[in-house]
Amino acid sequence: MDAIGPELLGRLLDEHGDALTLYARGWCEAPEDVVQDALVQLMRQPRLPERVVPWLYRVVRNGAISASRAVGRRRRHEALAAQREESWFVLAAGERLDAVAATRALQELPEEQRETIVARLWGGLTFEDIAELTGASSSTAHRRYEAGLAALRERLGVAWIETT
Amino acid sequence: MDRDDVEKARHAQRGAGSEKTSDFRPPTSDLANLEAMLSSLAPRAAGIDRDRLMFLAGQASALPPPMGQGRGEGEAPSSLPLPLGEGRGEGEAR
Repeated sequence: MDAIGPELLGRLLDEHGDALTLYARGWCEAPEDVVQDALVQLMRQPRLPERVVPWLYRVVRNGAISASRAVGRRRRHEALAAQREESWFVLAAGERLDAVAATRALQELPEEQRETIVARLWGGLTFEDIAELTGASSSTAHRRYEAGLAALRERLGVAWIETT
Repeated sequence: MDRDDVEKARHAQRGAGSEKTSDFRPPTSDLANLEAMLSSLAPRAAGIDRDRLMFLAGQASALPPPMGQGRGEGEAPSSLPLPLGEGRGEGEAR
């Protein structure tokens, strides 16, 4: 097992920082702060968690929800509205899916579906991990994932999907 | 997008992290295509200041562990699941 040290921290930041930040974006306007705090919290653990990435997702989730609750409802909605103007993804020429449209479609999903999709697709978590993360069953996590994908397909339109 | 593309996207997805697994079988090829296309989008860079993180982490590692976290990961209050709030039910769009 790796020791908790700068090397591991740097590797976690490189490999999971962007996806963790994407995950936190769904709740709060300063997701980088939440992810940074989670990584710092990791350094304070007496032992490296057995499954460090799901552990980080749990801490980031709680930090992001707490940060969201700390600001007023009106300001939260203003911040989320402002987020709609920017992409959660890298804008790259030649992508078959429009990054801004995908961002907007994700933002419009119910929280449970959005966080399940982000944790699964970009975080690479298993449904068991996501179930533990959200306090739901694996089958519920799976159902939310499928429902979320179906909703995204609807919102993004069939024109975005190549079927051949 | 053909089956090979989907498999490539999945492979890339699994290779991006050490704890990734593939325990999901999409119900339709349509959703599988969408899944592959979505996962090909790269999240925007986090913009976390690496030097500041290392500085804060160094400070944190010098402190004693938080109360009640002396025996392992499961005891960290910050790692227990929080319920989603604001009274929004499942299926209700934001």
